[in-house]
Amino acid sequence: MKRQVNIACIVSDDRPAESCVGDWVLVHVGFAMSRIDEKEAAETLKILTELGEAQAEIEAMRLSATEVGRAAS
Amino acid sequence: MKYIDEFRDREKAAALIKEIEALVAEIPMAKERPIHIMEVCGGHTHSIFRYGIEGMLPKEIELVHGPGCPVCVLPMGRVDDCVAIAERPGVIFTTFGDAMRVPGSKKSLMQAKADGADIRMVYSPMDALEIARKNPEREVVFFGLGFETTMPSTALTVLQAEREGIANFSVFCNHITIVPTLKAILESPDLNIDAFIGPGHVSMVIGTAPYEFIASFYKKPMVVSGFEPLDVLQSIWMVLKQIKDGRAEIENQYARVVPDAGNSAAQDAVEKVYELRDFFEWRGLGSIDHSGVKLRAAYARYDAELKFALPNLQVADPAACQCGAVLKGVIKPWQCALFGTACTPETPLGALMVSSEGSCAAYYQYGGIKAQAGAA
Ligand code: SF4
Repeated sequence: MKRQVNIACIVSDDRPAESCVGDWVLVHVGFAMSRIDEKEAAETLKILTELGEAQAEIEAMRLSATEVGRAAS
Repeated sequence: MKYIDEFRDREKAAALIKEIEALVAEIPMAKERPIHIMEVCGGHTHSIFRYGIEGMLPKEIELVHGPGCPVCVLPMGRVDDCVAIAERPGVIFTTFGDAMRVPGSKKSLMQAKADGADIRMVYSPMDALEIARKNPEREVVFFGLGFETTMPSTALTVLQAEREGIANFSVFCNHITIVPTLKAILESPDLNIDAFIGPGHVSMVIGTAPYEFIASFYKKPMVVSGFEPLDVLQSIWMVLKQIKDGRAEIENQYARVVPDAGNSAAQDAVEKVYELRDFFEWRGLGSIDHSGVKLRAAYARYDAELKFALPNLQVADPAACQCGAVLKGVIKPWQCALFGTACTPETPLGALMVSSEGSCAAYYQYGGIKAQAGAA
């Protein structure tokens, strides 16, 4: 989809309009209000991935613990 | 789409829910009563229902749906004012689509349009300005509605009208501001909230500093959150970690969009164009001091309130309507006698049934069956 978007809020002297081309931005009622910070997005996803891995590990430990328990009894 | 799909991943959601369950087990308070977490923003309410997030959470967590849906808190008298402006000869009244069906005391904007008023839905205030450019012989009024998220776009449009010398454009300003609203909630005597999920889009404008008082003075944790299911789940997890550690801080889960300082260009536009009203009337919550803004005197010629004489009446909500109690989290939507019978999304009696961000419409649409069964 193509639409005209007002970018007054995301440009400044050190971030001129040309530097926006190709950026992902958050648009609200026709105004770009934020440039998506790729580093922060990656950081958040990294935390989520690590959580997932930690869960998988806990699960694996729990399973092996029950097996050990069974072998001993 | 980029930055959306990654935040809807099922496996990651499952891991988060396990983490949340583990945390809840370590919070002693949760054994005595549910932990109440309020999501302030209507956008979060919408995500929570759309993805069935309430159903995924352990029963010790109760989500309270806050008043952050601008359409839902619009009082009837204000809708009547809109209709009065729209029905004046020569006026083109422009509005976001979601305000069309909000009931007034006599009719909604939708009904006024059917009766012949020239009411047009726009996507952006800039579209309203374009209509004014094309119709110099008509008065074009834009219905400015919403929190700090939409406030800057209305302000920038007013500044643009000034630059171009467009005289037939004005704004009926009903913008509201988040901080006094949060204060009013925190001060309310029946307050029953342990922590907050903070609004993402409002915060990308104002930043996170304005919320500090919630942590320092009221000692409640808040996590500013994104809108995808993983964002909301991660924010709930972060809030619970704070509760478990006995911390109360303002944290930012949505850093990819929300810089801690907010957006300074947007803040400047807001500061330039608006000033606080002494008070503003909210549907269901009554009058809240300094919770609304109006155009500054320097922009008086763009102020529809001054341009047109308005009835400006206060109109009480219908007696059987329980929107106020639902907004404050005192009752659940299905406990209102009108819910699903007299009041449905097709024929809304109360504002909470109008927008998909309103909790009554959300419960009606997405069932909330589990919650109802649990409460019965
Ligand atoms: S069911 Fe209708 S009248 Fe009752 S609280 Fe909800 S929106 Fe208001």
